[in-house]
Amino acid sequence: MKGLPTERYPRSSPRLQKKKERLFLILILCLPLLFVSPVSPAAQDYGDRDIISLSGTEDILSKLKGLSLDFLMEWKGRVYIVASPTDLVRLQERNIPYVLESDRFYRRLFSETAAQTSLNGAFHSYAETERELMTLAQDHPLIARVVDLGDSLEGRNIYALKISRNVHLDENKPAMLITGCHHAREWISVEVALLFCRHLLENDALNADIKALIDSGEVWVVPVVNPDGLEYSIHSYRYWRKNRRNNGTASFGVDLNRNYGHMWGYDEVGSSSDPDSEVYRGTGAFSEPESQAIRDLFSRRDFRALISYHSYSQVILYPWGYKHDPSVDEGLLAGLARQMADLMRPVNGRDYGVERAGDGFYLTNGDTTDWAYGEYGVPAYTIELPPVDQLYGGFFNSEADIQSIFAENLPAMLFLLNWTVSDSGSDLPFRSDSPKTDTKRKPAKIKSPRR
Amino acid sequence: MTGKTIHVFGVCVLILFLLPAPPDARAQMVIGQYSDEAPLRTWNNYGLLSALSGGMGNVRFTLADDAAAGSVNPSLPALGASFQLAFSGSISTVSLNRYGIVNTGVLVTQSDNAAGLFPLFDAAALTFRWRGWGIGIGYGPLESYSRPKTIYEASDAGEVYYQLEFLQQGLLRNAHLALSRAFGASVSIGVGVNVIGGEWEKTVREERRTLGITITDHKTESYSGLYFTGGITVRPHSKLTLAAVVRTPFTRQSEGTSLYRYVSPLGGTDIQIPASAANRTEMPAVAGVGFSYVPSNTVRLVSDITFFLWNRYRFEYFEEELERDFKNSLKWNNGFEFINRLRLFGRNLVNPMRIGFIYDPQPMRTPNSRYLYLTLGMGLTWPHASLDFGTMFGWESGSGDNLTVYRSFISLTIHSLKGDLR
Ligand SMILES: [Zn+2]
Repeated sequence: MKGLPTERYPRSSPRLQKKKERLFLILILCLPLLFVSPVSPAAQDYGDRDIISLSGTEDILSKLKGLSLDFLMEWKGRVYIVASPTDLVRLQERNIPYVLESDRFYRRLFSETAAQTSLNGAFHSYAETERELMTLAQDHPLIARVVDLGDSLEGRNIYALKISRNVHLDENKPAMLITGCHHAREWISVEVALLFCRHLLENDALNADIKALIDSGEVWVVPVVNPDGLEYSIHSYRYWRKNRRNNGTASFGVDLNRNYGHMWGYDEVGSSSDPDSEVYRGTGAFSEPESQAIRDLFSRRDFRALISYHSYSQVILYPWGYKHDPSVDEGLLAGLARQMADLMRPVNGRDYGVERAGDGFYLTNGDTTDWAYGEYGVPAYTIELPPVDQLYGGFFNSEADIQSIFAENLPAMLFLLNWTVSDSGSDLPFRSDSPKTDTKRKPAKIKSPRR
Repeated sequence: MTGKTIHVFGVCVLILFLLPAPPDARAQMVIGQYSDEAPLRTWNNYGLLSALSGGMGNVRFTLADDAAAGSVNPSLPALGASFQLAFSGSISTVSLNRYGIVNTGVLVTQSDNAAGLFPLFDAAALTFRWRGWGIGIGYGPLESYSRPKTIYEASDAGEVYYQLEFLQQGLLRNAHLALSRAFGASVSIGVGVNVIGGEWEKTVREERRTLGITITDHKTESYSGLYFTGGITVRPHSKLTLAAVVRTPFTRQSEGTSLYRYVSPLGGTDIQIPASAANRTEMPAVAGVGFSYVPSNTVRLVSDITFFLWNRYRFEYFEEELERDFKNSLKWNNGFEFINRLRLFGRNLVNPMRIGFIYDPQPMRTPNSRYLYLTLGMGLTWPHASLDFGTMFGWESGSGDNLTVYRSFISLTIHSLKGDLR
């Protein structure tokens, strides 16, 4: 540990030197070989067959008799089968639930067909939504304006597009609000909201009815109420629901659709005080900047109606959500909803259910529609977009379905907008009958995914 | 230190090497809270590590006797032994937690969230000196992206009806070729070319078995890239070595694929959203200075300061630039070595004992966090061969999650030194 390098490291003989040179060359030549993949997929080819697993219970096994399936193994109570497309059809016919396991065993080739695209395909991310809104406003400067309602927790802008004649003037016309993406994973709700903007703007010059609506009313569209959650759903976990509040207890997120200030935290059924819960209501009503943005917008304009888009279930929900009982405006609220559903049905033949949220669906407290109706007396609807249930995709919609889902919702949105600007909307507020305090209910366990 | 305490110290190091730190498990029912590109452990990665430097606070800029150090200071091989070939490996456990882009992670309630990695002998380095020229080549892991495998299951009457699985594996490997020239016995300059390559794969998979529904998110990346290093080493005095090093910024390119898929056979549903993209990560430039001070035959004091230009970091992922609010960071490595001599199996051996300390601030502004490491190491040197052990214990502070890192290295070096003096 001392002295100059020559002292520490004596030189070697010329013969040894030659050897070393040769070794050196060999090592350099071998260098590329060292780049071996640390992730080595098992490249087994099963052709068009899939590996599936199904429950090994006797009930299921008895249903398999006579199917002559290619059994692979039994593991942890599940039976693994190599199944042909015909086998899969037969299992479906017998109503036997199975889980597709192929991608655990070998890789499906898909990248060859995939275009250079973003992770969310035809759906809009936060940045893509921002670009779309800016483009719409630029292309229609007299009737569309982008309004920044405030920042999300992670500093993203919560944008609204205001659509109205003389859009830069505050004329205080009767207004309708459309929101999308309170819940991060409900990507389709962003698309319906954005396509509605585009439809109104592009038809202003072509369609006299739409021109009249833009003349006499204001449409406010907030396609992404929860931008942080949406980005998280695209990049980290597809089924993320809440916003990205750090709850400080090794859990994240507040359910924005339980954070509104009417009957907030009414009971432990319609929302939860547990930060880990999917329906965690937050530390207080409007504790979240995202719900505050909607609250503040609502207080500034003359809103007469609201649609909050969600998925899935294919149903139109109206207040109350916090309790089973109907509101005093049951007839009016249900009537408008039924008219919307009637207009939607002929478009693609899809039947949207009409339900009072707290009665037919499940109890929710602190949601957008109870608040809008409860505090402002306006008809407020949650529209749960298709599919109708988990078997048909749950929170997933195929890119090919975006257009048709929008198309069937268009007449409902136009109908409610018409109602907003017509005389019928001027009778507001409806009588809101909800007491400000109510007895607490006992908590219950939530089982199905919340929408 | 007396001879006896030194032996006790050596035994302790060996025991620590064999004993991975206990996992610091934190429960959370949320997966994926660890951004895809985040390296396991620290963000501040530069060049290859070895047991020799690992035990001495990972100080490398002035360590000509560490064959792997040519990866960070390409001017070292011209000042080192005429021949050194080292094979190294490491084992590591890491506790992860919740923050997005801190080294924190993913977790569930039912299993611990420590990642255990055992890639023994996955690195090699060679240095070679000849007539004032020095060459260093080496190969080894630069960054790991692996996470603990996470499984959450819900069952009813003993049968699992819901399962969620999170799997992420990935490794970035680095190969370097360094060329250096010594001017006299006290100055050397060098340049290095580095090639990176690697693979990354992530699968998030949910099964709702009663309905027969599978939801998968599968992503892959395959990395490539090239960067250069430069270094100058000066020995103004027989007891002092000074070095300055630089790494060019570079682009870690990757071919990425992604598939979101929802399969529900009973509903006849198979929804797929495939994507592929040329992803890019702009990795930061690095500059550093270091010294070795050898006041006596038996003592060596070493230190490196490394500056990472993180505010130029950019991450473009599937056609989108993701926001990463990074600040530059200054990492400080310090080590101390004491040369013990012992007689084992009738031979005189050199037995260096090492200790080190690292201050390693992470680039994220929020949360503002840093790792502090204590390192311990020892070596055994025979004529033409030496065996080194090094162990690092890291504790994170700032995120509130008290993350821990344990990593230990073993290196076997074959070298041209005949004597027992090293
Ligand atoms: Zn929802």
